[in-house]
Amino acid sequence: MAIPSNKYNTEKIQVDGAKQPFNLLSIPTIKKFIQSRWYPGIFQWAAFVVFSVIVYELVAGTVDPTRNIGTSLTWVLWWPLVPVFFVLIGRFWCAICPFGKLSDIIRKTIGSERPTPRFLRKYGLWIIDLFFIAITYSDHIWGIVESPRGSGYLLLLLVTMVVGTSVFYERRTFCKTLCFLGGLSGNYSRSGALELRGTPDICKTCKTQSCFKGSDKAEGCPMFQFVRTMDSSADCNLCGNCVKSCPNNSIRISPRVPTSELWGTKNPKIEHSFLAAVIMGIVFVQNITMISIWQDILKAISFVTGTENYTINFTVAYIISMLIPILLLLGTAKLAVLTGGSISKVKQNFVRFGYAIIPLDLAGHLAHNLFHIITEGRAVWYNSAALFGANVTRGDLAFASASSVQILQYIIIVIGMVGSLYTAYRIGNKGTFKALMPYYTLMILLAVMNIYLFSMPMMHRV
Amino acid sequence: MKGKMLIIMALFLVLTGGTVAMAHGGNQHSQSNSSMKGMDMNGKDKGMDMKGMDMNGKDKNMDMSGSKSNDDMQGMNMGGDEPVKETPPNVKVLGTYGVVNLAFILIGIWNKWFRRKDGSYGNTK
Repeated sequence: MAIPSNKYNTEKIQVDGAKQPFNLLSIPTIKKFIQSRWYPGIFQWAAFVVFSVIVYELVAGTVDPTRNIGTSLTWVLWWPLVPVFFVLIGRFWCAICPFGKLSDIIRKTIGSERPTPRFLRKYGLWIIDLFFIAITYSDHIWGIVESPRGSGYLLLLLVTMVVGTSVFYERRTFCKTLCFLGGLSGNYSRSGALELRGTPDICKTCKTQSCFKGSDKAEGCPMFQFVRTMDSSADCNLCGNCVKSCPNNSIRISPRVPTSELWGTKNPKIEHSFLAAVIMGIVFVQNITMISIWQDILKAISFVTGTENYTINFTVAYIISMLIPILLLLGTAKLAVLTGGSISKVKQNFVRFGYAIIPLDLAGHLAHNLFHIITEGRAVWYNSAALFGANVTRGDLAFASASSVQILQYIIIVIGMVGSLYTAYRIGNKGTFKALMPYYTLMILLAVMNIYLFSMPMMHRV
Repeated sequence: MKGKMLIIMALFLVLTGGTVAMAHGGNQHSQSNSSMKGMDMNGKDKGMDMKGMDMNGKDKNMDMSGSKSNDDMQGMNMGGDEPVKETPPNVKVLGTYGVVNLAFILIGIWNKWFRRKDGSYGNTK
């Protein structure tokens, strides 16, 4: 159900006219720090040093994933924590990401600073979607996560892509159009609790546009954003360049209601909705392949395909897992039209309501990785201690029992479901229960599927 | 008050392990054990030995040698006591990455310092 444009505009005007939210930059210490040359540099360099150690350990350290600090830091600590960052502080991780820093270094020293190719600008999000699907697929076929060497080669592949793009193209072309995590972080950051925006009354009088073009204080926005027209946190890294450059003190960084951006999106894109559905499929895959019924599923697929080749059977399972949420969303969009609850076309419904899946994506991702960080988290401590030569007696890797984690997983999924239901309600312009029933059913169904999968015993990464 | 009670109940459930809420009714050990019966990790059981699922380490994805168990997950430990065979860094792979990256850097240097000196593209800074 599309929001009538006149109603949407009225609502936006009311929001704009309402009391401005609290601005973190009104705290002098924070503003001074963000405007200083230390921000985000100290975080970037810290992350860069840790990243270098991780890559070295992955490609040259032990091949035992339980004892490799690179595997522990990447897949047990970082990967589960990243979605938490996105919820709490938006895409700040991207500002301090080692790949982004490497991109900056290469570009500033030997970069040609050419404009991003039109192809990447136009299809970048689709490339990101495909790249994300391909990486997850490769992980299951070649065991990237469980193999320190595999993880190391993946990181080096990304390094090569960063170097290749930064040598030729301006700003953070790689982050914006190719980074698989960029698509994920963009989608998740829309649900985030922090936003950077300009003050419309000040921005409309601005003649310098230094947030986009840059100034002698800082470069222009690395993510190609123009704060004056920016209405999404999906592409804002909170790098602070616009805070440094803006001569009019227009920038504000404010807390907001998580998921609030999802129902106010002016130009919803099919790439985002597609990715939202795909991420749900990927959460299914990640869960299914780690639980005991996976063998039964493979057996059932092998019965149909007539082969016991793991690659073929996994590929079938993978495609089905991807298709389930996509087809469910498509079916729901169609059902909403058929039942007369929506005057919009099926495609419009698919695109608009795909955003409602994002809170559940986030919950699924968090819940899945919560298992790893809680039941394998001590590996980070043991391996870090070993890296510095400390003699630590290794014991159980878990901080808490798997059954405790399961309860937390259920709670997270329920919170995600509530977020998705409310988002669907708002995207549907607070429509009647009957009109939005198909979407509510979809969100509840996805949540139940997640809860069922989380109720199964799961294997560990390390 | 209701909210506080809910939070206290939720915390109680979490901290006590909350087996009451599990789909398998808390029989996690028996379920996972039974699910893994017949899964000979050396591939001796023809019924379960699928190509691409070599548990001797060819398919790292299914190599459970690194899996650890805890009190709730004993059924998921697939014989992780076998020692891991250490291998040295793969010089060929690392060398290939090095050469490709070096090539990009040389292209960048050539572009920046020899071919295009006016810096006519892109960012202002």
